[in-house]
Amino acid sequence: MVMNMEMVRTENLVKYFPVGKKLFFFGEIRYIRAVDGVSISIRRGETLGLVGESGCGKTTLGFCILGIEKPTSGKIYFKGVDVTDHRSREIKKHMQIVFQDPKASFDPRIKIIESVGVPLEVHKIARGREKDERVLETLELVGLSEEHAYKYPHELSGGQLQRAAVARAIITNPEFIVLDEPTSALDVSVRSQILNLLADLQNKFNMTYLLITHDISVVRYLSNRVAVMYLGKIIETSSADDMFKNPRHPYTLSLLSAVPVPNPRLRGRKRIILLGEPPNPINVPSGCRFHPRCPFATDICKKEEPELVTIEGDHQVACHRVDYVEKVSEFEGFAG
Amino acid sequence: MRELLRVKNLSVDYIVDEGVVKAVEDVSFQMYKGEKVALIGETGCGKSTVALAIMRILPHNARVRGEIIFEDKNLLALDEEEMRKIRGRRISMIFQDPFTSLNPLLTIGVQNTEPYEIHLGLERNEALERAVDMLKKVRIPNPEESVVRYPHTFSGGMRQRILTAMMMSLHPDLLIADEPFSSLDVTIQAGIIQMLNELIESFNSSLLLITHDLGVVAETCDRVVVMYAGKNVEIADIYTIFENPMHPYTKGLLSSIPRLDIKVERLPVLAGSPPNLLNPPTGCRFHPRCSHAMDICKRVTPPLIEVDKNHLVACHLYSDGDEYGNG
Repeated sequence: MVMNMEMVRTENLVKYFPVGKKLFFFGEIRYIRAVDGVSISIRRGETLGLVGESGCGKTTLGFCILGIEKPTSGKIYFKGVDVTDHRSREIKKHMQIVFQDPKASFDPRIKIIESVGVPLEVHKIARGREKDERVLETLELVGLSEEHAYKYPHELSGGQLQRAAVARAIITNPEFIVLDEPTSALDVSVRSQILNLLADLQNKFNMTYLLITHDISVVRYLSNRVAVMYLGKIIETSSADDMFKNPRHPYTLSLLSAVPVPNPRLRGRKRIILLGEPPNPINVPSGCRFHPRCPFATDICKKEEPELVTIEGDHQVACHRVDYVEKVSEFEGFAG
Repeated sequence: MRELLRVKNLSVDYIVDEGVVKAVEDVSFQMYKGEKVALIGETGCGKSTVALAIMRILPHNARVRGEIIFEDKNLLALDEEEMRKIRGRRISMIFQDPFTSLNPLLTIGVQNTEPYEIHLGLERNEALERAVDMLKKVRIPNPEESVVRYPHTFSGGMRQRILTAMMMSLHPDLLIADEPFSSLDVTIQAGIIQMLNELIESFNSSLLLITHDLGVVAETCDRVVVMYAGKNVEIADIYTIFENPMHPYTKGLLSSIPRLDIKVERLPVLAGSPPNLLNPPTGCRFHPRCSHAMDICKRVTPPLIEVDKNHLVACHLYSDGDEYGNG
């Protein structure tokens, strides 16, 4: 029953956005290659952390899976059903999202109880008095009370609003939620409250999360598995423990070593500081996309695009120099 | 070490329609020459207001009390003419968003030569030469060609470097950086922190870094001032803050950061959220969220006392004075 273990799968998913205009023979249409051939699988009940820097296509990937964006090519499966072109209301009910900015995800003129109840109306689950009762129950689950329900968004703090956003996402009892930078707009002390809430709800309702974030420490806390994305491609994926103990792709290595550590004694530690800026997804570099910034790049990296290959267990890396990187990282003490 | 800046009992109120926002109340700390101090706290704790007060660029609805002594001069008592000689030349400031801090209609060359022309009265060519030199120091590729480009042609990381070059061009005694890295990706951020550190050290400038990112603080600073709801609650050197924090807020803040090296089952949490400063809690402003709160905390504002050498804490747990706070 392998099928049932898998919640979401994408096969060679591609999403290009056209830019520029064509007028008769002048100008050319170019494409932002936001997602450029991504195959991932998210298992039931797990959290897959999707990490990458701004502009790497991680949100677009999430949007494609949810059906907010239509993929250019490739396939998306939800519980074994092909949902690339069409998905039933029943399936939509089971796929929800929590956005980054809680202030922007609520209509300022509508009370919380109304906003949180919208999915119940859309999916024709409940209305009127019954709907309000369901909303109040769900708000209680996320730590809000009746008092908050009858307020307007501006009357709640950022943390309280994000709780309400979580309530709205779980009110249809979904099986799968995309968390798109759920704590980036929140303060440190409030962030940990929301992270704990998300972990608790997942345990309670056995939900599956796709956690999209650039904040590595959030991924560490919430994820079972991690996928690292660079310029529209997945370049490394493994269990969370393995990723943090034994990163193998040079980009993952530099990403982990660049995270500021809240321990002043580790200040002088060895780090890989990348040169240059992330390239533009319109002009994707030849060969390995990371080669212009990679400290270990050689000739082959400029010519051939590396495939994602399994190095052990479910740890996959797309790098020509993976054996060399391992030696360097052991020698210089990056690992662990 | 020579003292460079002393903020003494600084209070800032904002007059708004709903009443008076007590954004900063009775904040005191000092900075020494060449020192890197972090001012940390959450959104709305008043850390940026302190910076704006030092620069004297607070909005019109702000009411300021207290003293800001910069090398024997009280900045708050200077007239605008004298302040202008200090602002930008002796004290300069980098803001959070490199996208809005540069003028989109002017080339980098025009903007980065301004400090030399305005403060030093240099000729255009000489100013340009110096600006190019400075852009080289912040590692802008091809600085000679970059000066004719407009801000939008640079990435966010490059813009932050250009801005840093501009602000450091006159070798200021004090650089105030307000969340300078928070809009950048970590791999870019790491390079900029390294560059800024080198620049500050080579010019023997001091840095007042305003941030909520405790990782960045640990990478950069010598000493930390922790603020909560407009008050400073703890001051100590960087090792003491991270290894032996004493104020319950500092403790809670530090323990609630998810860690990379170990996977924890559950994050410790500071319950509640920061108060509304239109109507701050009585006594210690942290008492509604504090698990150690006592009766006295609701009534009496705890004074900042020295619990150890150079370690100051404002908390009744450590004051042995009477209940009126008179030690």
